[in-house]
Amino acid sequence: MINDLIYTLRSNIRVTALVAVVIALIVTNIMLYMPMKDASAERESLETREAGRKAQLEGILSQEEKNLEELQAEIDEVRASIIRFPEEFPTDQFGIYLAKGAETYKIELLSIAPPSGQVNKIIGGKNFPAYNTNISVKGELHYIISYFKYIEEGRYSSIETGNVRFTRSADVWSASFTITFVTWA
Amino acid sequence: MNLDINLLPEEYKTKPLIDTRTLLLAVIVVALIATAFFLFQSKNSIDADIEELEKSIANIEKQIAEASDNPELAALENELAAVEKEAGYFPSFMDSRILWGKTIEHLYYDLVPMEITINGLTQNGSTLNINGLAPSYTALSNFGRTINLDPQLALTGMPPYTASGSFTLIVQVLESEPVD
Repeated sequence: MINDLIYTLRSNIRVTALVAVVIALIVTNIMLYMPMKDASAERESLETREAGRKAQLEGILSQEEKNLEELQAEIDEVRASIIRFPEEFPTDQFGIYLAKGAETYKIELLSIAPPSGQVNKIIGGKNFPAYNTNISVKGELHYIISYFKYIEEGRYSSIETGNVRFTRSADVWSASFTITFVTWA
Repeated sequence: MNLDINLLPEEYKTKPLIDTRTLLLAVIVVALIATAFFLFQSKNSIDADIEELEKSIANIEKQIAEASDNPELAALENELAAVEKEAGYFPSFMDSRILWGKTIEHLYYDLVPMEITINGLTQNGSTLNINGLAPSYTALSNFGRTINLDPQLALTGMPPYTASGSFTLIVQVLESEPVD
């Protein structure tokens, strides 16, 4: 039987050769197709990954742009809300203000020491230039208290009082205190 | 009617140049070669695409890393912190100061009993020394309790008292102004 087959193959040598070539080519094609299929799957996976990364980047950039806009808006808002101390100590106007208050509240200004040289007032860890003025007054207690309130809660909000001393002699009260006027400069 | 009878032996008959089987096989071979060429080209093209995609992904990932560390954003965050700090100075100052006018008014007119006489008030930091006269230690103690019950003020220690009725109370001011 094998002899018959060999005979048949020998008598059809051209066909046999072609069949062998066909088989070899089929095997070659299979060998080429398998890695191509794997590579194709890998490409698809990378395309999905690239799309995901692109979307992530766009999201980050968009969020960052939004964050930048929000931050800038917040900065502008906070900046607009800043209340500053006066740039300088208004010597003349403040003197007039104190004198007017004394008249209004019927107290006697015994002395107003001129503002000291610049001192430092530490607020929130920062030094601010400040000016101290020592004042002595005499009068009825409720008028002196009203005068205090006029100074502390009046036109100049960058003021604080200290070294407060009230003494009574009969029905007359005397008070001495220091006004510290804080400036921004 | 013509009959086409060839009596020559098989070996002497004229054979066609190529038979149908061979032709068919040749066509299949050509088709397979073309397929192999196509597959080879496709594989090369896919490899090139993969290389390109890997480069693109690496580039995007680099951009993501850079975007997460945006210096412009960091600069704005620093600016905001600085501006917020600047905005806090004035409120901090306002919160820290004690309104002595209101405090003394409240103490003198709301808390001092009729039988107690106040002769002097001296401020030292956030404390207030109160000098005066009391008809009895009971009256002074009641005054001290009234001060302690006030949310703005707190008496420091026992009220000292002398036989002459004079006293000095040391009062701590807890709030910047009287609490309603």
